[in-house]
Amino acid sequence: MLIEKKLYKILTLSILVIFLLTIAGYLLIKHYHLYIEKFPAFYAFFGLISTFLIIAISNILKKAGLKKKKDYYD
Amino acid sequence: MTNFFQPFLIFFIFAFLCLIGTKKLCKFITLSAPILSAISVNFIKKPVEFVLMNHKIILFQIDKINFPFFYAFLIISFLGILYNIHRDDKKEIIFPMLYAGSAMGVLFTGDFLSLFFFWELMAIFSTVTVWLGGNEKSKNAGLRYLLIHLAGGFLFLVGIVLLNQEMGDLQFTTMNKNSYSSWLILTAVLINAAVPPFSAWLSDAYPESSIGGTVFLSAFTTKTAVYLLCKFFAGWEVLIYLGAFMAVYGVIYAFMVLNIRRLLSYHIISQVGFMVTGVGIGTALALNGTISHAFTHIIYKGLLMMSAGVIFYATQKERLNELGGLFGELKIVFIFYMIGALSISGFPLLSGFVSKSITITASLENHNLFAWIMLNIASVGTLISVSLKLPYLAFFGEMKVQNDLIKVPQNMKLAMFLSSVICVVIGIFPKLLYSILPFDMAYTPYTAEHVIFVLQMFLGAFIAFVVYSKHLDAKYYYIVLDTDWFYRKGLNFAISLFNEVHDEIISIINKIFYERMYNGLCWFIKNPLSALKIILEFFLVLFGTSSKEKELKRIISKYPQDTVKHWPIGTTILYSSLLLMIFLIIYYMF
Repeated sequence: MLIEKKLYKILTLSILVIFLLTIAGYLLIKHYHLYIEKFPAFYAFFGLISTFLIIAISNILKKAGLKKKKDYYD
Repeated sequence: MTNFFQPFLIFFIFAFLCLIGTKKLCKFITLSAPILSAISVNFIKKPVEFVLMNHKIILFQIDKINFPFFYAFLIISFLGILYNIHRDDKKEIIFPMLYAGSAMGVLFTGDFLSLFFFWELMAIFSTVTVWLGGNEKSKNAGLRYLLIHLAGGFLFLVGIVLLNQEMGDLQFTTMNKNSYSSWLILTAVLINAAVPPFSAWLSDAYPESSIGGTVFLSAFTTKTAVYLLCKFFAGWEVLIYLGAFMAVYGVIYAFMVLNIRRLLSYHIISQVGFMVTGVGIGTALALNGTISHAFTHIIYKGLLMMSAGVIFYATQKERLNELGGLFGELKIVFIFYMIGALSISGFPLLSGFVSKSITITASLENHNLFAWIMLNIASVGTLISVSLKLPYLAFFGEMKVQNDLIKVPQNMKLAMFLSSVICVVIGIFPKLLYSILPFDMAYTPYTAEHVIFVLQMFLGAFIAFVVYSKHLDAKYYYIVLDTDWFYRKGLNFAISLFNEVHDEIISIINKIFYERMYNGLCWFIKNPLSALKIILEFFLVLFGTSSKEKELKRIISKYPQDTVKHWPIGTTILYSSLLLMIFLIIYYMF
């Protein structure tokens, strides 16, 4: 239970920081390379989605047969 | 005379001194080799060259590209030797020094023949460095490593021979996209740069070396390949796609594996992917990005390998399922490790940020959206496995290591401290690094958008990781297959398949020649006349010209009948007299 509470604290804090960074971005950034970068907290979503993507692909690859017992080559 | 003392020769001489000297002398002098090399280079005023068999051999020439690499090599040699110096085994110093020396030889050569010479030397000494692991596993991994590198070296040699035919000499030239020789040389260099599918040698062999050996291995082979790519293949578009692919390939594999040094080895592949992409883009900004990234990568990867080595040294374990809760015991190592980990992830104020962002910006300025997306995904992947997964499983959670930890020697800590200092200093004062880069560029890493975007991306990834962290697959140890399967298992599989086919063919031959034909002949000679009749009838029936099927079956069932023909005695006498008469006629006529 304690761990769960800690976890929620960490997550809330992270989301708060992302929010603050987004506001700071609107105030400070004058020049965008890509149009999509103007989307609020675009990079946070990018990080979130690509992490899940990497986890998903690695799990699929493991399920597909790349994961073997440790003495496979012996 | 000053021309004589080239960097590679200084390393070779010190390795030799180490070999003949005592252990104490070895420990005393080796650290001065990188320092002396750094000094001696300043005294070599002109290229060192001579003529050998009508070929102009250039052993030493300085250009804009090789000097940043040289600095990084010197620093990592110094730190690596410092990290290793407590070892009583002289091998641990001699072979890495020879390896470092031959890598420097590759950097400074000015013609293909001497380049090939140092290239092969590097392959040999790096193999011996893999063998420093000293067990059966490292021996086998080293042999596989040698196999791949000799194959690469062979391609390189064929490429050089073809180039010699095309150009008439072996001087460095710009590579022509339409000639076979450049593609052969490119393939050889890509094998050394660990571009998939030729990347498995790296993740296979590096973790099997000794902990000090891995620090050296992580620095030289792939970076000399990146140097050659920068020199000859800048702007080759195929490299953008290969590099972007390998950057993501490395992080996906890194997220799967549990051996800490193997995890970090996969991140070498991923980080070299950034560099290869930069070379493929080929603009001044991208090449600067590649070279600065190679520089910072050598230092922070050395630091990470040192930290992983210290974890292994202290606990005698390096599988994430067996580690945990080390934070209390190895606080100082944790701090050094995290500096390296956040550097490789590209966290602001650390060295990776100021170099990685150049390549990513270059891909954006070049309007290559594919490379931009892949490199950003690779950045996120680096963060989650090096900065989150590894420390989460090794340093936090419950303590799984039962035995007492071995005390870490001071020299190891000092080497890690110095590496961390370099990472932080470059991160805070990027101008120091940018001043040695070959091309002029107007680039400032610390702009509001860079910092905010990177922090946002990392926080997003952090949230995703925290949500997933309970499901991390680290309960028991497993391995993940890579392309080395093809020469570790696949070849056996192919051989067994071949054996099966071969056995099948032999059994068919046996059946035909030794069973069917033998039985048939036996059957035939029982009564040849009748057998011929049966065969004739059989064919007649087969082709439909006769309808005596029942008759045929009857004869076959009765075969071989009575083999003795019952002749009357008179007939025999008639035939004998006829025969004699024919003889008589022949005798009198001729």
